[in-house]
Amino acid sequence: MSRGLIRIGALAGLLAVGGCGGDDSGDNSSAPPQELPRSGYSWSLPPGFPTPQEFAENPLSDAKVELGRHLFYDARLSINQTTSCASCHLPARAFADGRVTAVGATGQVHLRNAMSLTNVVYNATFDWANPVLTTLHQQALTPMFNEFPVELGWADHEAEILDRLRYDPLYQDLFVAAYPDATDHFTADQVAKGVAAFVSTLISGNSAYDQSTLQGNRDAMSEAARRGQELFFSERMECFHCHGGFNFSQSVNHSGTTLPQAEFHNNGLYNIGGAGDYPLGNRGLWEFTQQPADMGRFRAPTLRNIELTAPYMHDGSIATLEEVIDHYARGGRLVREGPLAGDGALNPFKSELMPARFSLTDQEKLDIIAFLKSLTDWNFLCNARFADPFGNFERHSDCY
Amino acid sequence: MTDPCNRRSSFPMRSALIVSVIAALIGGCGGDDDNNSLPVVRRAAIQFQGQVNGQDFVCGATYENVGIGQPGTYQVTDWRFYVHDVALIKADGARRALDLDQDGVWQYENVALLDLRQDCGSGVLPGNAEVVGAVSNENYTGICFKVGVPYALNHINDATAPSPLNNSGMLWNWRGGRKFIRIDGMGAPGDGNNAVAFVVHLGSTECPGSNPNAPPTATCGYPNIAEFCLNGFDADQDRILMDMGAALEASDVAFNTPDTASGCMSGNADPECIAIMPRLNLDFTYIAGAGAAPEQYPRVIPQRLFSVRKP
Repeated sequence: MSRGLIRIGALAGLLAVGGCGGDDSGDNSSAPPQELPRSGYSWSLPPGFPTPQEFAENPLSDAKVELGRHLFYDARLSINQTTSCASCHLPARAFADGRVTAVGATGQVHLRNAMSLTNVVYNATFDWANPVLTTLHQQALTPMFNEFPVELGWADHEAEILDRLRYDPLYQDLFVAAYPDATDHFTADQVAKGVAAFVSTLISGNSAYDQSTLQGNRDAMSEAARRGQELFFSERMECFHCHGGFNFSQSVNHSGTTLPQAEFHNNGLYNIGGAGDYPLGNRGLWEFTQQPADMGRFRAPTLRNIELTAPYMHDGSIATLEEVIDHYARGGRLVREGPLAGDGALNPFKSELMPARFSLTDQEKLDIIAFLKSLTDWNFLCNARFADPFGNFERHSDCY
Repeated sequence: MTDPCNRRSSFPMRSALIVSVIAALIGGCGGDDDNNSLPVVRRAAIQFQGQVNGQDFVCGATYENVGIGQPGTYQVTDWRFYVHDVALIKADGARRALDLDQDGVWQYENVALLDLRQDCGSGVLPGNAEVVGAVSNENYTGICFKVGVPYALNHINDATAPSPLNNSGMLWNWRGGRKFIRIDGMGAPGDGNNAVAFVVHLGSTECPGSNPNAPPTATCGYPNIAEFCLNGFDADQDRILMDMGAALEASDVAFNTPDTASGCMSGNADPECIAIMPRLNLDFTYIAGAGAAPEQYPRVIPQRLFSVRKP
């Protein structure tokens, strides 16, 4: 239909007072997404991947991504110049850190496990269970300014840290290129936007699984991985109910997303005292809503590169993939004694989508692990575009 | 919103639309039988309402006397489903397809997603309880629609599919396609060891192919797409009720066979599906295992899942 006809239709609608059929309650939450910022940024997307959503407040450019890459790896961004973003998001570990829970610049221990940054640009929300944190720009400000615990330690030290950048010729060039129209280049907000720009390019979609599935190279996956894939997508294991879709997480957002898709699930890790409680400080979505049903609900992260991001769960309380499988096979974790005692399998708020329990043969367990390892993307891990420009953080040893 | 008809779509019957536009300029776009300048098409918004045993669906609410088991309590936490090929039916049986608005969110081609959740405890959800479009302006006595997603659209890549076919919560996998119905729930909720996750996820099964992450190599052995036709339906004032109490009337929602999907996820080897699938207006073939003889469970007639509610 021509534009002219659309206009006539609209005019007719206006004249025909009262309209017809459509019940427009004034709620615009189901309206199509706003027009994308036309930054002209050229995403380097794997085959079959959707275009990420860009936010008007932080249009991407190659210069901003390059600024962000330097900032991400620069320890001068922390209060005592010991810690960079990369300290908790190591390139060799698919941008996770290998610790049970993260440690900030001043040695304070975080309550949560540092998440992999693989494909974060597709996350519907950020952090393990923060329903209101929906842009990487906002997220980047969190580790910068967090005080409980201190992560990078910017609070009360903003000017001092920014001055380290302000008087460095390298950053003078990088900031001007990234923000050509800005009057003051060296602001915390523009640091966060630069880091967000870089992190949003950490897109992984060239694993053996992708090569086999989307790139016509069936043999890229081993037979064991292929058998494991069938198990992963079976109604016996039900993995894909929370870890489904192109990013192996249902909680995704991209330029084609029209409806809210943030999801949070309780997977039966705890059941303190039998009442469903999770440990204080690690109660997930409940901390935002105080709704009983939200106790212990966390975002299911992507499983891409999961082989390299141990230990697992929001509190890093499961060390290996094998134990993760055992956890789900039992339908939850039994903590026999101590202050956290309780049977997570009986947590009243556990997701309906988690099987009560399932059993696997030893071979099946090997197969499912082989499938999870087929999600490791060596092109991503070894990509020079993601590497430390200062040479302090090495890529995975298999890259060399 | 400048267009009270809420129409953003292209429309195939261009000349018909022009006539209707002229008619609309005169007398509005609704049907008006005693008007000589009858529009050739009219708007229709088909309303849906979820219920469990006659009680309106409220996300997270617990309903009583569900199924045949004890205690018969059932908490419902999700309620979404796709429909397609919606048509209004004339007294002589002729059907007129509803040409769906292409709104970019809930409707694509001939498919619409209904999401009857309003607030599941974590904030207001957009929700959608209607199918909206244009239909030939005639007198109708009934409505027909199919539950599910047609094969040609059911197995497209979720990453690049248009809305509502990219809705991640409705994904199964590539080979299996979408969940046609997603009802999540818990039998005997809050009853400690006795609480059982019990969901109804309808979709196509036995879709051939060696890769769960590729389209099937041929149409699915069990498409599991049923058509529902309801008489005495007035699109201007009636609603279509979907009562999951009827679908679960022969189930024990507080029991799930170990090592099978929670509730019924359409699996041909899942005993819980024997009582449910025939009540979704589907013939069900149960196959206990390799070498077991298939058992046939024909659809329960008349279906009681959907019905017409007068105002």
